[in-house]
Amino acid sequence: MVIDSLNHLEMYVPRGDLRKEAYRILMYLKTRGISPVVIWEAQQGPESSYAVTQTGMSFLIDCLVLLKFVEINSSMKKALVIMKMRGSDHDKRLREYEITARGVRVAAPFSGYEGIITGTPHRSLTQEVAGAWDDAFTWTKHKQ
Amino acid sequence: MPLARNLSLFPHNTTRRIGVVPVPIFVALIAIFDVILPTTVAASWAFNPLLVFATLQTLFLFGTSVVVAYISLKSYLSGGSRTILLLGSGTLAWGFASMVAGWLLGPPGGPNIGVTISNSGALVSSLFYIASATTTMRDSSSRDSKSRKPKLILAYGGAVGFLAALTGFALLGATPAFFVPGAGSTILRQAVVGAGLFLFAASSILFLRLYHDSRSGILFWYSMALALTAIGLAAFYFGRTVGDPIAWTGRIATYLGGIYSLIAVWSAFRGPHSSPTGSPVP
Repeated sequence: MVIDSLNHLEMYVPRGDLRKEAYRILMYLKTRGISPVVIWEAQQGPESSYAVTQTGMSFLIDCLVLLKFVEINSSMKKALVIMKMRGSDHDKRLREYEITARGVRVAAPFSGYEGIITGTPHRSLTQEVAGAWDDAFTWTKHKQ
Repeated sequence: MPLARNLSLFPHNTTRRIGVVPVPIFVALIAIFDVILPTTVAASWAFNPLLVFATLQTLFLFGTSVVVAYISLKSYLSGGSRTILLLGSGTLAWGFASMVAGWLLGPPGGPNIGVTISNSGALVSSLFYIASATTTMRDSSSRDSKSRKPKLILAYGGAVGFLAALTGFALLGATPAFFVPGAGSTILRQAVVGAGLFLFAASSILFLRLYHDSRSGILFWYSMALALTAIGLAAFYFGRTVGDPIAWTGRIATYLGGIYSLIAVWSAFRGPHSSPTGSPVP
């Protein structure tokens, strides 16, 4: 069952009761043998980059996937990272994903960039040097 | 990074003018030694402390080539430029051959094994360099990022593997003689060194031409490094015996070439830089 989204519940219950209500719903579904997929729209800012739910509900979840918009090369890209997956040594890399006509396509990790989650992506020092190296030796091609 | 950008004592033009100075000095020194030094005197002045030579080769040629090859590796994997791939392979071949030659110059095989590896490595390396320099004018980037890693392994592994195999054959005595003690260089050595010298010089000129348009410090220092390496090969060509004054002039020129290639990498730290958008920042 997909709950899209749990933020609706936030509108109808006092803020202090949200965790308790979410727990009740999820436990109820579990006891009925239903696997819930819960969507939560999190407020993202540089100071709360790694906080996903803001209300401390991560402990209720077995698998936590963070979807995020990031700005790279002056264009908005969709990024995906698995923050948590109980009992699994999962991929920790931040990957680009696209929603295509044939479904979700998970692409290569954002290699060579730092600070993507915090919203200030920049190339790592080695990558900067490698970029300058490439620019110098392929200058004529860029000019064309 | 801002600190690195500001670490310049002199304006760029001044440092580059200073950077050119060693090139005519080394050419003049080799020419003077070639004219004034009789073969018997050159042989008596031969100085070959093997451990010092091997250490210098490892430090200034292999060490610097590893740095350049690593930066080229990262650059190729992200940008896919064949120019960079060939450049990295060339520098790795030169560094590897120089290091192996340094450690194998002494007995039991005599100087022939070291000379064979060093000179053959120079030729292999120069072929990579000239291929790299000629691809700067053409759009030769590999757009398929998945194929870059296999190509990189093939190019770097091929360069090192070929020279490792050559080393094995040379140690087994299965390669033609490059240097005969008492008689000097063979015609084969002169041909190999001559070809390598020509290709290094041509690569240097082609990169310098690119520098003339772009004014990139990286290109300037790298083309000067290649020019100094070409001068080093010229010294091998004119040298009377292993370790004579002409040979040491050439060795010092190649070591300075290694330092220049590091300055080229340092120039990449200082800019012009690529922002996350990929465009150069003035």
